[in-house]
Amino acid sequence: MRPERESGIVDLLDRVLDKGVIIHADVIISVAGVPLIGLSLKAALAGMETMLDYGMMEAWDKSIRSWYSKEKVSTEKALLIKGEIVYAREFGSMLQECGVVSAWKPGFWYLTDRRLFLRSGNEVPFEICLKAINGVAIVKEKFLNSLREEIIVGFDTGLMRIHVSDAHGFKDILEKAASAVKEDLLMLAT
Amino acid sequence: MSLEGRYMYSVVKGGHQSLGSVGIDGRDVYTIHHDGIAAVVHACDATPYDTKDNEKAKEWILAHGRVIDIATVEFGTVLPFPFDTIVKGGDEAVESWLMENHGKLSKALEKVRDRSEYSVQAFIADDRLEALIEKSMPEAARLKESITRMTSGSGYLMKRRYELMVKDAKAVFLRNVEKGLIENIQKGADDIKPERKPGRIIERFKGAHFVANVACLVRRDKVDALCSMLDRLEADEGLMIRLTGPWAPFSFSNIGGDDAA
Repeated sequence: MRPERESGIVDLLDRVLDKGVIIHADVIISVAGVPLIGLSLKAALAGMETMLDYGMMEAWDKSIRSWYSKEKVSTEKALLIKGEIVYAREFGSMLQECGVVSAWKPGFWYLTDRRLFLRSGNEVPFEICLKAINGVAIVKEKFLNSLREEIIVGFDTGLMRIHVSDAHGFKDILEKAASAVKEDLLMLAT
Repeated sequence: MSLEGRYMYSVVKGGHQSLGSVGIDGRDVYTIHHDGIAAVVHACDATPYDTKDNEKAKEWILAHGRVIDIATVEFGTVLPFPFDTIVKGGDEAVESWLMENHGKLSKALEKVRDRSEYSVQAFIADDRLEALIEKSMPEAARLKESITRMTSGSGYLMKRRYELMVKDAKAVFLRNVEKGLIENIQKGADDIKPERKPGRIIERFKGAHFVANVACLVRRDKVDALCSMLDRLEADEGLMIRLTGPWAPFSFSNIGGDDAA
């Protein structure tokens, strides 16, 4: 391995825009203490793909990831049955109806080899055995000011309307998991 | 043209010198000095360089970099300025600033003497990361192996299970790989500064996981050892590494706030 210096501008741009000796505001030409780079120049440089946005996304991503892993590990283990296999875990919501009032309750949908349930904080407001599922369908419904796809899960004692960001993907895997359980049952019976 | 500004390229150890018309727009570059420390400058108007023209902007940036390279050859050690740092006033304004910050500048110059900045960008391919994970999670390796023997239906479900299993592990392992890399770099560098994921990713890194982007200040006689170490990490851990440099110490030129007048 030898160190290289690209003769073009990309690596240089990384350095010369905001690194090096930074001088106090009074002495240099600046605005509110920020060294002045001409605004047009800034736009021209953006046109050269100085994707500082990438850097910002990475920092945001890191903090969400660390929250996510802390959130999950502590409560998840307590909710799973010994030997239960998790096929999918998606952020989503379920429609909770209480008489005339209905509201979407957010949480994480867990699809395992035995059941489908929603974890909301430390609660499990909905849970159903895969065995009891007799149909899964996608519908387009109005939500806030637009249409979105929702999944209706039919089971022996009723219906549940759920939402995840990838409706078709989740429906797919839910159907596969439910039929796998039914196959096992058939095999047991014969 | 009033020329009531001085465009700053870098601070060096030295006296009066003229470097010729190597500056932005062909300007004459020379030094203004005070007590053994000098600023490499060209005289300009007291307004920032500005343009909508990509090509012009590129030309100016390259010129800025070129003058810093020339100063490095001439004077050995430089503290570079960012682009478009313009001091208000004439030579005396710059001399004044040098005088007020003499102590800090001396200290900063001493810190980077005989040293250059290098940049280490490291990525790891997905399959190499999975291999690392499977080495320490035998159940994941077993699951992956058993998937190959399954029918498409249950194989699909088990594949999803495998992906979920390693998804969390990936974040943890990436952090560990990053830590290990940084510890290794620290052995050979005087100072390091971890940075964000680079905005422009080179072709061979696309689709791979970002591990680290580190600026390091390395003594010139320790560069070979750094290269060997990075070669070893590439071979042993399957990291993909890009090493750039030598650069002027942009990331290690902080002189703190100004001394009171």
